[in-house]
Amino acid sequence: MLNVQVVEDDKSIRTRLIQAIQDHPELCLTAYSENFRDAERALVNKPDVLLVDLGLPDGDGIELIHKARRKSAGAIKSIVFSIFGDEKRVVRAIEAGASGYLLKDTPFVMIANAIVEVSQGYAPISPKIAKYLLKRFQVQAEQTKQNNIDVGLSEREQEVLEYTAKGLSMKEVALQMDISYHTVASHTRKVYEKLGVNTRGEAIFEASKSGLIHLHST
Amino acid sequence: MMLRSLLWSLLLMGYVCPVGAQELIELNQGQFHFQSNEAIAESESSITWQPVSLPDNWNKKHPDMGGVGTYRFDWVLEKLPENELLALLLPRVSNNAKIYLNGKLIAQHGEFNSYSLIWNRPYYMTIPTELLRLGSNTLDIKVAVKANYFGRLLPFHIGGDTEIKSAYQRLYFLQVTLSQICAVLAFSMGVFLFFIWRSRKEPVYGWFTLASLAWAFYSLYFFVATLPIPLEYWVRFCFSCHFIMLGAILVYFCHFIGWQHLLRERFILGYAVCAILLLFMLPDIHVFHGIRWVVTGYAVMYTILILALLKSFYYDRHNRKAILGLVCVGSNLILGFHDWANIFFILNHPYVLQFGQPLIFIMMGHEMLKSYMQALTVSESHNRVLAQRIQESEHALRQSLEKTRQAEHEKILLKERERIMADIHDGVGGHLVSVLAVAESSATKEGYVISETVHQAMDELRIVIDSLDPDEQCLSQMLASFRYRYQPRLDMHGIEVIWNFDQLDKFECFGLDKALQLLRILQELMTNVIKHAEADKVTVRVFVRPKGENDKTYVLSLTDNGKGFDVSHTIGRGLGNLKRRVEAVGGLIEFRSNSLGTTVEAQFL
Repeated sequence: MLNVQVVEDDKSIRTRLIQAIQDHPELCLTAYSENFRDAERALVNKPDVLLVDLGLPDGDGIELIHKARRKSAGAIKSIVFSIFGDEKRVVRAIEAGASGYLLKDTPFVMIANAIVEVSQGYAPISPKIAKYLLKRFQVQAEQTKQNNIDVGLSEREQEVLEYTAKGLSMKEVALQMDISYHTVASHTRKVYEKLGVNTRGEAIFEASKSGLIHLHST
Repeated sequence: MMLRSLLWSLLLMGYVCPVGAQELIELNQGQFHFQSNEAIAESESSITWQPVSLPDNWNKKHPDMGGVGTYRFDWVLEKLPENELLALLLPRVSNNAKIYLNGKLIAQHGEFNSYSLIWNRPYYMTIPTELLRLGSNTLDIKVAVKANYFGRLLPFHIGGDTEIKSAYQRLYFLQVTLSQICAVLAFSMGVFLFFIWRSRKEPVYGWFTLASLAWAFYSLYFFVATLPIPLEYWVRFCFSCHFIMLGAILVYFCHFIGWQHLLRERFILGYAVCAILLLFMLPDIHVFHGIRWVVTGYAVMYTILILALLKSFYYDRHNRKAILGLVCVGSNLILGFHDWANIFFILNHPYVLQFGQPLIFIMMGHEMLKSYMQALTVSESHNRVLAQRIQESEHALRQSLEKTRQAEHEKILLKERERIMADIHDGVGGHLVSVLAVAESSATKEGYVISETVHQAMDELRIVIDSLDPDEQCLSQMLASFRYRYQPRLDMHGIEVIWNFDQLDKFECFGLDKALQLLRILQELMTNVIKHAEADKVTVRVFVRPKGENDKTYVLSLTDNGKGFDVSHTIGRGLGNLKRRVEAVGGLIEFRSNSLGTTVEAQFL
């Protein structure tokens, strides 16, 4: 059984979410809250999965993810519960330690399944985020080349991201690369982990976007 | 002697073919008598005459003594001149002379004081016929000079006035006018170069300025008859200029050819300064000896230069400067040697070194013109490069401005997008998701319809928001996002989709408007398939269909294996919408359907 804590300020969504979790045989709801403060307090229950809405009325969901990771030494897996078009915040959440994200308009039946999948190490990436990550890791690679620090993407990870950016689903990526679905999942998970290692990358990437640093486009 | 005869016969060509009736007589054998300044006038009878042959320099025979040397010539006149006067031409007499015919003074050449110097100009006069005697006539030429200066007389002629006069004019032109021209030329050149040197500060111009001005002053020696200072200082001044000139030309040439190392400037200058000091310290009697030795020293230096030039010419025949230098210095050296020999061996030729200078001027002018042209070419090319650079930087500036403007625009868009997104996130989006949650939880048919509609609304919103993202404005990225977004829904309905986007790279210049419409159409078609088609397999394809030679049509096609519909009778709201969307961007849409499935093709121009 997976213990899930939910943080969502919208009542109807929260209700539906709670319903979906309770309906799922493998999930168990440990706590739910509608704001940052209550959610932070509820972390003492040590849930396996923390489902976080980023826009909380009294705080930032990203901060909560960060705290959860620190307090549990990485035992709590956080999932961002996001509305579309919010990729940048999602990436920041991943940097803060989130293991994945879910879109709020995903059919609720699928949300419960997705929670299970993320807890098992499946890390979904949208084409937009994949493209963003590709660019970012390229900048990071260029910047760290001189320092001989290798936090760049492996060839396979790069390939996975490239396919994902084209809109291929994980299954399709697995087919294309002739590897198993699980291997693809582990590649994306590693990409997420690497993203958390060096947060300096984003600053550089933003600088390049604003024209302060020149970058070769992919 | 041969050379001298040749020169004179050339100069006095008129005599060779006399036009008038008068016989031309050359007087070069006579008698000489010297009387020092201090000597008491002697009576005619007590004078002892010595035979003499012209040319003669009496001051050589009486060193350190000034005075008057009288040359007496007797000649027999067979008949007195009738139609034409007789005339006398002294090619050169130094320094002052009085001419007596049969004991009567008939002319005086020079002022007979220390401010008079007429060593290098011819003298011409007509002989008064009434003083001539039929038979023997006596001509006395008394040449007066200060101690140690020139007391000399060259062979002279008596003949018809016409011929003598024209010969005189030729000689005058050669010895005086030409020297004057050279002096003016040298002076103008010197002044001109002085100003160039002042602005350019190149040593080569400075040295040539010095040489030209020194040359101009030295040239005065050849034609100035009434001196501004006493003779002894004038000679020293003129030869000082000569030394400076010789040194400066030497240094100039070394600079010109780039051989500063050959003869050290300092050595040459020191040599000139020492020579000038020596000149002013030497007593009058040794002045000309001193000049000879100094000039000999210069001759040695010039010879070294000539040898170096010859060597350079031998090893590198393309060294234009060496050739030019060789011609100029060589010719001047020859002329200089001539004059040097003239002084040293008392050849009494006309002096010619001052005429060598135009050659150097022509060469210098040529070189200057050449360097001027080069500078002009270089500056023109620099101007071109500059203009090009300005153009390039202008272009770069325009580009960067454009970039900045674009960045600004993107920034504004991004901000706007973030604002809209925040609104949606907190407002519309949240509400929609709430509605979705409620609708899904109701588990009724209405709920299902509502949730479907909300999904559509959210999809539409997504497209609008994505279109504001600069990274999302290319069709491939839009399609990728769409594919990702729709995959779960399709999976849920058990619909397998084959996405064929192989030709996407040909959609590079597909505009944003068209891309958005294409996406909306695809979304609507996909929704239709999910809702109505009952298909389990869909093929989505975007490709380019050539049309004509340069034209092409962009095509989106969607084929399903659903139950199909009657195209002619089904004019639902959805299909009408689709038509409008395609037509809005100038495209057309085509439906083909039967019981085995449906194919929709949207064509964009």
